[in-house]
Amino acid sequence: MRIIHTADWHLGRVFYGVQLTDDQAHALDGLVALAAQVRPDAIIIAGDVYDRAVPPPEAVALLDETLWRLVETGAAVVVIAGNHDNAERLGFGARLLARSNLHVVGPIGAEPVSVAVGSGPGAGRIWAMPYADPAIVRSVLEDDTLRGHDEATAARADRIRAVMSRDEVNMLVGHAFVTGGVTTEDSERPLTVGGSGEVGLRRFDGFDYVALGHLHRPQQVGSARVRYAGSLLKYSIAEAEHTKSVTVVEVDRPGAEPRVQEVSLPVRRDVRVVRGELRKLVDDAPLQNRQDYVHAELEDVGPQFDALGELRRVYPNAIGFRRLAAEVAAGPSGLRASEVAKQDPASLFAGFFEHVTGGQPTSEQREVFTRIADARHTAAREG
Amino acid sequence: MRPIRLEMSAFGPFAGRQVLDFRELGENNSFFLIHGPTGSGKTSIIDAICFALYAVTSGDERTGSQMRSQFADDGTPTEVVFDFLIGEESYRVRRRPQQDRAAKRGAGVVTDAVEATLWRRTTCTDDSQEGVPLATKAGQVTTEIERLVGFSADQFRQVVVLPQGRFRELLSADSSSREKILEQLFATSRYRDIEEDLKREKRRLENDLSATRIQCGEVLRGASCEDEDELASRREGVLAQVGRARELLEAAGVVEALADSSLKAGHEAAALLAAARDAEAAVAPAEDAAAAVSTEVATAAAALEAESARESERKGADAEVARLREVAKDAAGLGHARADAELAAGKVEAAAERLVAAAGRAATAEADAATAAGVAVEVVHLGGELESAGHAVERFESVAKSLEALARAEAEVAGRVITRDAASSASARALAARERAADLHASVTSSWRAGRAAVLARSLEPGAPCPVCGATDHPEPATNAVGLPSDEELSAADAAFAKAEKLSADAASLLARAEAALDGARDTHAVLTRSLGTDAARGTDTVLEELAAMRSRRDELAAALDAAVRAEAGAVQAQDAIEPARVEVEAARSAAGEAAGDLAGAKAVLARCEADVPAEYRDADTLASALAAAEARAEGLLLELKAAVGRDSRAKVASAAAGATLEAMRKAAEVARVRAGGITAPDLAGLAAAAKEADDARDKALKDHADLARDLAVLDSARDRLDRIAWQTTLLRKDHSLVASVADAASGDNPLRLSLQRYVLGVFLGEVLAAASTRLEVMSRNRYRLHAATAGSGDKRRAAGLDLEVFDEYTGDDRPVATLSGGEGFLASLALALGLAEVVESFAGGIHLDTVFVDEGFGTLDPESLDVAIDALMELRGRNRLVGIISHVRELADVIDCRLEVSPTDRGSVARFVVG
Repeated sequence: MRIIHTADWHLGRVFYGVQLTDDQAHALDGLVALAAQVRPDAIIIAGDVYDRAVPPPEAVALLDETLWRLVETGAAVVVIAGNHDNAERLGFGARLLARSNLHVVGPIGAEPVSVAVGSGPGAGRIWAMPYADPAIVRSVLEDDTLRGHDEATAARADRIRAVMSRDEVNMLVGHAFVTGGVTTEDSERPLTVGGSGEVGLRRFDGFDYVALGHLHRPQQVGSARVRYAGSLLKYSIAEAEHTKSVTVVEVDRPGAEPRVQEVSLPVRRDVRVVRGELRKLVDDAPLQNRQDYVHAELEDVGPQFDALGELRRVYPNAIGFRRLAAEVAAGPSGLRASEVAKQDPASLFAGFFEHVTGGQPTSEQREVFTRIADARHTAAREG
Repeated sequence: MRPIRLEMSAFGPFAGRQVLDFRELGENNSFFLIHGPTGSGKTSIIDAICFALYAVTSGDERTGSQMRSQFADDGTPTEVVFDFLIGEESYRVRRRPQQDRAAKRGAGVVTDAVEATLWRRTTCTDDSQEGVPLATKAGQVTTEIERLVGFSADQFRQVVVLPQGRFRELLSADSSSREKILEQLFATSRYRDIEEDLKREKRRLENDLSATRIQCGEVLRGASCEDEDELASRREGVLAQVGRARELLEAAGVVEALADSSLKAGHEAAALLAAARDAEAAVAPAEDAAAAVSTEVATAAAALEAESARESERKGADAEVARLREVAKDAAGLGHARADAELAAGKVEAAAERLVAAAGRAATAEADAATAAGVAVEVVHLGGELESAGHAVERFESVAKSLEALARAEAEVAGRVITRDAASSASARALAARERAADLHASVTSSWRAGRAAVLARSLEPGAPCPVCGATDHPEPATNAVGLPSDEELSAADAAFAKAEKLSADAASLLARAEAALDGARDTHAVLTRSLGTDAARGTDTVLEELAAMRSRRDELAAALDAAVRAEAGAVQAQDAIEPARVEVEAARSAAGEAAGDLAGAKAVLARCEADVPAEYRDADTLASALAAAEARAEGLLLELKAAVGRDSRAKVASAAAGATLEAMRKAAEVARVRAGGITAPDLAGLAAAAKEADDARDKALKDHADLARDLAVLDSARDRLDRIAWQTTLLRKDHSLVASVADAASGDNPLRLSLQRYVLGVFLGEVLAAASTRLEVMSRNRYRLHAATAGSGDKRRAAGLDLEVFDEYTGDDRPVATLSGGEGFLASLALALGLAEVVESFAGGIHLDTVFVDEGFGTLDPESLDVAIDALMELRGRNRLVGIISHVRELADVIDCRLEVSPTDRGSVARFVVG
């Protein structure tokens, strides 16, 4: 069985005020071309298809077009909801679409859902495990003891294992944060407020391949058997160093080690970080790749007037900048609050006096202050 | 303040009792979303907390009493119970607003007053325990909570709750209100107290300085000087005057001593001359006294002789006394005899009286016995009469009973007659009905029989034999008459006749029973009438009246008989008393005889005694006074003799003394005459006048000197005091300038216009803004940072320090926070609230800012900003701080799996925690 595993498209994503639809369409053109070339049995989209519960119309149109073209290649298309998707909205018309070999799994059900795929010794099933809040899992599975994502996922996997046949290839598509996965700052939204939301790796034992979504960095967890395809594009500045890809997976027969290949998709505008003083960055900008989404790390000491405007003169799609030397203003004397709490009033006064008059207080002045402060302290202590 | 448990009853949209247990969030879930559609009551939860703590709502737009639920039934009072934690201590507050409720009795509305109670329940282990009450009056509870939480309601709404639509309050508050909050949070009031103390110290020194100036004036006024120069020159003048006065004083002293000694010598000479004169004058009286004493000696001697000559007179008086004492003895015997005679006479009289009384009693007893005989006859007579009266009553009682029975029998007869008449007419009717039924039955039977022929005739056929007669020819078959009764009609007629016959027989039997009953009643009546005889004619009322009269007559007789029987018993007693009375008369008579004998004896003795005593002394008083007079006369005579002897001897002694005195006087006069010889009389008045003059002169000199010395002392003391004050003033001036330099600097009178407290607050604010900026930078994509406005800008006179500005990295310049857009302002406020909470917690200054509620505001964000804000909020996971976000925004609910879901129903809202 051969599949293409992709995830985290985040269609409708707005990135520093920029609608990324065109960039996403560009990459998805590449995916369609890849599918036509590889002829997979199935294409798996492992959640976070949209960036938000109510996606903008452009995003819906793009998904509609892309899915049509993918189904046209003859592959089965399996889509599950991620934590950014609204499961019900995504799952609209799923039963009708299934007739066209497009299998969208939005809200979870009590019974496991699978799609039969392939032929010959590698034939098997793709089991869908869309993202769901543990509270929803509790209610659907009617098991109030389930706490947190780990237990909820364990229960759902158990139900699948209870019905699946070991005589065929079993793949799982899911959207979760598996222990051992590497997160990217500012990229993945936490799945839960309390706890980590992590799911143990062994919850996925027994499947020939586990196609995961959620983490934006393409990676395998533990072994090649459990894998995140990574996001379609770079969706945060911290992802600038990532290399985005989709994964082509082949499993020859039940229990066989999957063969995995990462394939990069074409990029319209890269997300890049440039570093240096504003003047230099503007004056010495290379001529190529100026359309990229550039984020500048400015080394200037002082604030720069209209720094973004300057940057956009050479990088029209510059998205922002950060001044590395920007210090958070401290108190009037540079004193920190924790020090104030520790200092005795007399030396605090000395610092204050110097700050407001420019000179140290005389010993007589210090004495006067200490006498009054001590009297006040004593009076306060005696109530 | 960290919420533990919130219980709302009939509060806002929560109609019934809604309990929210924040512990359901679990240990790690310190960040949660209050989510539900608009109007479901999200803000009401925050309102309930604010109301429980401060009796106000979160936005201050609704009052506590307006929070009563519209859905609530009348029986559920609006109430909020809130358990919360301050540090380690746990508290519970319960509050009810003023509210109207239906009266328990009758129609109408009762207004319940505001109620509030605060408990400490740190040691309580169970939600049902209330703990130790701390305050029970609404005002006290609020005050105590302000103390515990550390905030007033307004500050609570700026720092702990960011109310809907007013989240910018802390951000855009002016310096002074922000100062108040920071001062509370970081307990910097002690620095302000120190500032105040310094100022007070400075003012004290200023007051002391003005006091010294006043003292100088007072000292100069006390010395009557205009200034210190006048004081000095006057002192010089007075000093010279004092020297002169001392010299004058010494001279006057010498003059006075001389005058005094001259006067003393004059007095001594005058005394000698006077003594000589006095001694001469004393001789003549002594001579007169000696002559008088000689005369007395002669008189006393003559008197003694005369007294001695009265010896026979004294003896005669003694004999008279002896005689009278003899007579007195006899007179005593006479007295006894007289008393005996009087006693005997008394006894005679008593015996006579006793006799008369005994005779009287005997006569009475005899008379009573005679009466008793008459009473016995009357008892017999009354007994007979009472018996016959009793018989009469009995007879009349039986007659009355029979008459009553007769009346009942008559009524019975009358009743039976009516019953019989009714039965008789019923029987007659039943008989008639039976006759009619018999007729009908007969006619129906004959018709039916006639009909049978026609029925048979219908089956006849020509030539066929008749079933009755066998004839084959049927010339005149019976015709089919109309109205022939059917079999049913026939049997109905049979039944009707049988029923009428039974009814008739029943009526006849009833009549017979009524007749028999009537006869029985008439018999009873006749028997009664016979037994009564003539009495039957008497009316019952008459009989009853007579019976009553007879009864009262019988009762009267019984009473009379009773009285007569009692009288008869008294007569028997009287008979018994006659004999003892007669015995007593005899005894009294013999006693009277004895007493008469005794009296005669006593009278004889008395006569003998009277003969022994002379008639004039028979009266004891006369005798006694005669004896006393005789004794007094004998005594008097003796005394006069003794007096004469005494006078004679005293006169002789006095005569010798007078002679000696006279001799002494003559000698003294001689001596004095010799001493005064040659002395002339001195001018005493002149000498005294000279001495007085000298004395006065010295007194005046003394006084003059003293006055001047006093003046000098006053001026000297004034000089000293002025010197001392001048020295103090120097010291005070030095102190004042020192203290003023410190106080002015501390209170902000310095080049930076920055007070000590503002300086310290600035440090804390800087820290808060640093923490807030870290968040705001993330949320604004590195664009904005918050910082305090620098002192250089704006009005120099204004105290520097606590105004906020936002630094916009895109423009590279500062601008006021007010210029931020709605969404940016919300993010900045959120960042500030979170930064503040973070710094306050790390500062540990006694205030626990461990809870923050943000009420809406997320709706102002565009999708990307919302994403960024959500990411920033998610960063708060796992901090030791409770952050509650209120929003209806769907995305938040999708992202935050730790929620308080509020759902509206048509009977009010319900809320519950949903934890992932």
